[in-house]
Amino acid sequence: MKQEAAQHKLLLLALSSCFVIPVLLLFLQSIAGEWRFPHLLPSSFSYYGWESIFQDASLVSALWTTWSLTLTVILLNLLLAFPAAKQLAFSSFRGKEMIETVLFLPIFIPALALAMGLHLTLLRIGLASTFWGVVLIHMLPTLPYTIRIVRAGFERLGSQQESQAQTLGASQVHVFFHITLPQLLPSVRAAIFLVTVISLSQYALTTMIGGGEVVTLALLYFPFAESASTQVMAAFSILFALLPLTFLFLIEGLIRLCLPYRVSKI
Amino acid sequence: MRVRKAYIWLLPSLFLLGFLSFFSFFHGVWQSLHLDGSWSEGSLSAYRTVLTDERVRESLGFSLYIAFLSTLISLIVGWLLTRWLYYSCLHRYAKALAWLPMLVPHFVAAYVIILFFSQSGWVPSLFFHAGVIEDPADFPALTQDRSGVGILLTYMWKEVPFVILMLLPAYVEMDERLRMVVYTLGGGKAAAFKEVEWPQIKPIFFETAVILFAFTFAAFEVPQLIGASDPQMLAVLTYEWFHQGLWERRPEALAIMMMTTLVFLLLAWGTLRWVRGLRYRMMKGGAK
Repeated sequence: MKQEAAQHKLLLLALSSCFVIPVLLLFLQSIAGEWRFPHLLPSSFSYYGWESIFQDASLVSALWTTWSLTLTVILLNLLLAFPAAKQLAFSSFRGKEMIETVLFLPIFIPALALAMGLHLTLLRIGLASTFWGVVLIHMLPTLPYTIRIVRAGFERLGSQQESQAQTLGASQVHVFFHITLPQLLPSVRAAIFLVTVISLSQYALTTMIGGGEVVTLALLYFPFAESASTQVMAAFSILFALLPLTFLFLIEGLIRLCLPYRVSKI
Repeated sequence: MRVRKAYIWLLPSLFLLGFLSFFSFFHGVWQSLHLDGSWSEGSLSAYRTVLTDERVRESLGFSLYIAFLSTLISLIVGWLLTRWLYYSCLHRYAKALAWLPMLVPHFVAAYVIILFFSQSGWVPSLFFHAGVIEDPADFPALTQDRSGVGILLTYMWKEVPFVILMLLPAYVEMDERLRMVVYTLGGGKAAAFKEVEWPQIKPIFFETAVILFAFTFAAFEVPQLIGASDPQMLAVLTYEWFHQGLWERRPEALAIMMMTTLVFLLLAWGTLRWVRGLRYRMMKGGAK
């Protein structure tokens, strides 16, 4: 029994190293001075990578664009997904299965197809090459996941607590902030996380609809990969991993400020 | 009255997802038929060109190969790991671990693979110290290679955790008493798998498979960064055609993407319907 437990731990260690080591190495690369084949560790360290990232004017402005874009996409996602997910979880109505399927189908449509199909129309109505055009197009690959996650949260929660509060005379707003939202926080976290990563990952969609006017970090990553040094690229890559965490902490903090109760941990 | 309220709450999402994606599909098809963008008579010539083009056929083959292999490997590896994590009661730690590769976009994952597996990367350095190779050139080219190993490695690193995160909930929610019933009735491990475990995970297993296949088939970012310029995945070829100077290949690019979309929509529609049937029967408790 003991031996088996030890074996399991060893396997878990191997598994985690597959996931953890690449990220650690990326970090090491970002603070490396000189690191050439065949050295397993850098021979010297420097701030060069991080320094050049934050001194690059185009990158800093792309960081702000990405920041506001992602925040808008997250908020719109939550705003649209909550009512839809609640209906899907608790109500039954005609055509529900059909609606369910339609709400999840965009996941299977290639991003390129969406962008190509909508490009001309967005151009005509003046949304192409604008911030809101890109927000709109980023909703398509993210919202199906958010609805799905929030819906699963509602289903786990059930509707009885809400009904009870309403029977006792609580208003809709009261019920939402005192009962629904605190208990759905794990779903909200998962959704924010996924939306951020998906939105950050859109290169083709953003170039085609943004038309080079809305420059996000993803748009700079590709030209950088061709010309920038390894340290800069590594720092840039870490930046991508930091953004989802930032949003998570930001929105978590906001929610905690608004909620009347202490929130349980993850 | 209640009925109508449900539709109203669903309307914004339905409009955004349903209307926009169907509109994009039909307008895309329309544009691929009308070469000059006017209301003239439609022409199928873009489709004819695409279906007979040698490069398209080559790219299609390569895309199918990459999508099929990366889906298959990620599913099997992810599933085996999920089972192992669940049965050794380690899934609480695993969840935190699996989130880590989810943290970065696919193209960053591609760059990580380049750092590791390019010929002057970290793995060749390790091999050098182990005495396996003497020169970077001795290490096989695994990134920007003709057989697409770099693309496959990237997708594996990203999708195995995805598979784990999709499958684990199904295992955690599994009723272990059902397994005991099988054992009590004289069934072995194989019977327990067939009667209890497989029916429980089958829906999410196939749903995950279709999601992965559709994504890896049509994604542009990873092959652009880590793929060779020949053979080219279909998405990369289409992107290039769409962006070529005079728009003359746009109808062809659209034709490729709209055909892909149609196939995936039908595939997804079928799978989701089938999966819902399976779930429904499971919920009702009816076997078979």
